[in-house]
Amino acid sequence: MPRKILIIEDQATMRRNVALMLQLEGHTALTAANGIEGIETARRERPDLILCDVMMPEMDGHAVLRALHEDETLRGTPFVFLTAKGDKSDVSEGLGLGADAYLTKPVSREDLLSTVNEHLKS
Amino acid sequence: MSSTKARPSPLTFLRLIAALLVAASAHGQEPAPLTTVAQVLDGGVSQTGQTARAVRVKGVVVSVSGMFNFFYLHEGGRCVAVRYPRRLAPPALGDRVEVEGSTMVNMLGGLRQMRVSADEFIITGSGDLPVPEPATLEKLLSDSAMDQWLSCQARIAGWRLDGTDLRLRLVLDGGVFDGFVSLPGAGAPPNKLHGARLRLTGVVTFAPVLGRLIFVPGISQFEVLETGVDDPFEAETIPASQVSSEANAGVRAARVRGIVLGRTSDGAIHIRDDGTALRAALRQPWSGEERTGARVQERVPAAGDEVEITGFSHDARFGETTPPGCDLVECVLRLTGRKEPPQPVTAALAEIAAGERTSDWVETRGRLVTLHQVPLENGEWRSTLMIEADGARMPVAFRAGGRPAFDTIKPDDDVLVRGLVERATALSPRQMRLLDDADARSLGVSAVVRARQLWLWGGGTLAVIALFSGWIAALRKSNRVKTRVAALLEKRVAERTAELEKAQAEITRALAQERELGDLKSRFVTMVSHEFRTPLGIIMSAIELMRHYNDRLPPDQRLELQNDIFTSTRHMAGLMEQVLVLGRVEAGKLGCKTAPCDLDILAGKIVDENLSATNRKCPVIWRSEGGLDGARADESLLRHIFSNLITNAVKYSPEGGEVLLTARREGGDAVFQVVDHGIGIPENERGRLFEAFHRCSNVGETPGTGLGLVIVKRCVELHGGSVHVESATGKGTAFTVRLPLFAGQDDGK
Repeated sequence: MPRKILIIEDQATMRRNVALMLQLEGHTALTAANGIEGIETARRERPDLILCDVMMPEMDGHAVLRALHEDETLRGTPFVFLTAKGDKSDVSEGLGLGADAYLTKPVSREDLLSTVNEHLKS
Repeated sequence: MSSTKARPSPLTFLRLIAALLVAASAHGQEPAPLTTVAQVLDGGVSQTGQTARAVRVKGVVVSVSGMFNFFYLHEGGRCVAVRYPRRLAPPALGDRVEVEGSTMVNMLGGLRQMRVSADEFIITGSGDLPVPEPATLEKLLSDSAMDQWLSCQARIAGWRLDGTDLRLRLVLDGGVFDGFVSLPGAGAPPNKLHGARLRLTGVVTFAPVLGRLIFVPGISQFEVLETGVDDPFEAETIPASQVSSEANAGVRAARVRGIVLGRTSDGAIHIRDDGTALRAALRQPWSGEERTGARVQERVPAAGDEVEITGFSHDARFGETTPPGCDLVECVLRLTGRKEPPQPVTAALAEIAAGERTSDWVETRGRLVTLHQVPLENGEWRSTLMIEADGARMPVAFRAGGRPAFDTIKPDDDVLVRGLVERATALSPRQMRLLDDADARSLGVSAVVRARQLWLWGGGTLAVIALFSGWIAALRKSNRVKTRVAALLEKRVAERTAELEKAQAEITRALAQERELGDLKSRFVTMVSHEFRTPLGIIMSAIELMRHYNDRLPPDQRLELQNDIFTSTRHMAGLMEQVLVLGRVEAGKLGCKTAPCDLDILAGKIVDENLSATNRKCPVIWRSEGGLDGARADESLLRHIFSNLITNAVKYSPEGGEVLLTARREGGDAVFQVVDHGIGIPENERGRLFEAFHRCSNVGETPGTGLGLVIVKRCVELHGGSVHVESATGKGTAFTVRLPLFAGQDDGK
């Protein structure tokens, strides 16, 4: 069953490639180029899962996650960080904020899809 | 602990038939070979074996979550989580099932957990749940406990009900562990949970946010051995003096009253009750959540507050508490009143060092033997004073931010300290902890030292007088000699003082430099790894798309992916080049070897290379203003300098914006200029322009490392020259580089 996945990523090529991969897996991919746009899209489209970068201009991924947690209707949406910040401290900070999973770039198709599928509630 | 059901039912047969049909339709493939749970789990340990593989695995269902459609399958002492399709009805506890599906990797931070995604499962029977292995806290915390079916005995220090999920904070073996009980159908948890002793059976697992815990499948695996109380403050109060004596008999629930003496920076609280003091560790709340089952303290208690504390006595045989040295752990606290601020107990150092005033707030005197003040990574300073009196010694610790706390106390001073006494732990000796930097003050030079000094000085003075009398007698004849000796002595003293001061300044500077270098290195590594991961992410995603979906991609998209790989690879190569150059500069491997150099030809080459590297985004014009013949230069340094400056000029200019490189001779110097009409450099950031990794606030999304200008500056310096910048935001920038390329020659022309 196709699911709606929102990709929040400022790097255009990465955003397009991840979206393309998820589309080819039968999902509907929505994209946003920064945090503010990401939150607007999430509120409007109610995605089934959100993949979000951390370092972005305007509003970073941590702020996006906090804002989503304040929104009653989006609090339960599975949230996965996909980022180049790969230090142990970055990972524990991301998970500590309440993310469901933390993927570091470069991520393999297998890891990306298994994480996405695991956290897409049936 | 048993669950017996009359199965198989007709539904099971239908499911069996469905499974057979699916198996038969799967391109005639053979069913996967039977695997053990251990094989599935251990398959996840390998970093390379990531590919999902088809598996068939048998076992007993030991927990079921209908809400998240997964169950735990137990076989051979270990458990694996099996996710099943929503179209299937969940199995029951104790069912013997055979699962067909594929392995999947669940990524949780750095942890890779193996799971099974079931296509089908069939129930082949049902019976009792398997017998769990009993576990201690040490076992629960060990790596081998992961995914194991275990049981443990523990007391409840706190609990919280989320819908049908009961979260538990458990105390066992003198330590803390979390539990998670699924209560569907059972509704509410049993009464009188606080302090209750339980036997729990479940699977040790790792959950996001919650961390490591024992997942208890149902209320039947949750056996109350001894009831507790509903309100933690209902328990009978005991005097503080009894807590330690009880601690010898294992972990017990304890409730005490007392006056707050203070809190230490590691979060423990000290109270005093009728002359006996205690150190207690307050319970850490679950991440971001309020708890129930206990009243929540609305403000941080301060010295002088009357409080009630209820927690668990710690049994030192089972290891250390967090924070260390506590008498009570997992405490909750409530304010009951307010008294005058407590007074420290005056005690002799020997008495404190012998452990008689442990956990109390004391005041004592002693001679300062040593004082160490060390900066910590978080910007705080840790000060350790070693105090001595009557042959007993004791460390006194203090931590605070900003600056070293004790600049007026010196070794050999008599000091008065007041602080909380902590017990000796495996990691630290018995010590006193100061709460404020005013809690240690100097009373002047210690009486012992003064007596010793007096004796030395007295004896010394007598000896000097005797010696001098001899000298004077001998040298009386020559006044000139005496003056010379005095002058010589004075000179020597001045020299030695200057040497010492110089050495001290040197050491201070070296330390500061080392610290700065360490900071720079770690920033460097973080930045570099981030800068590499971004293009690697693009390359990996593009390759994965081509590997797995090539036949479904239109040709233009394939070409685009190839171009992305090319661009990202080139970006990485450039980045690596810059990091290497900087590394060579820093390691002193890049020297300045001058040779005759035709600047006109070199500049033309650098410009051409740049035009082709930037796809002729901007016209770059090279103009010699004459007199450049006969220059001696290090060509590779010049390349680093001008290719970086021109690359920047083009990068931060609009498409088509002209970039100009000029050079002229001024005396023994060559003066180069790189002028652009780009975004400019904000005035307040020009001071930081040549700092490693500093990038100006107006660069937007233009890629860069923040290393180019650092390389330029280092290379200019290596060549004995100087660089400066003029800029107007929004209008453009001009870099002027002055290099002594005609040193020792007559002015040209």
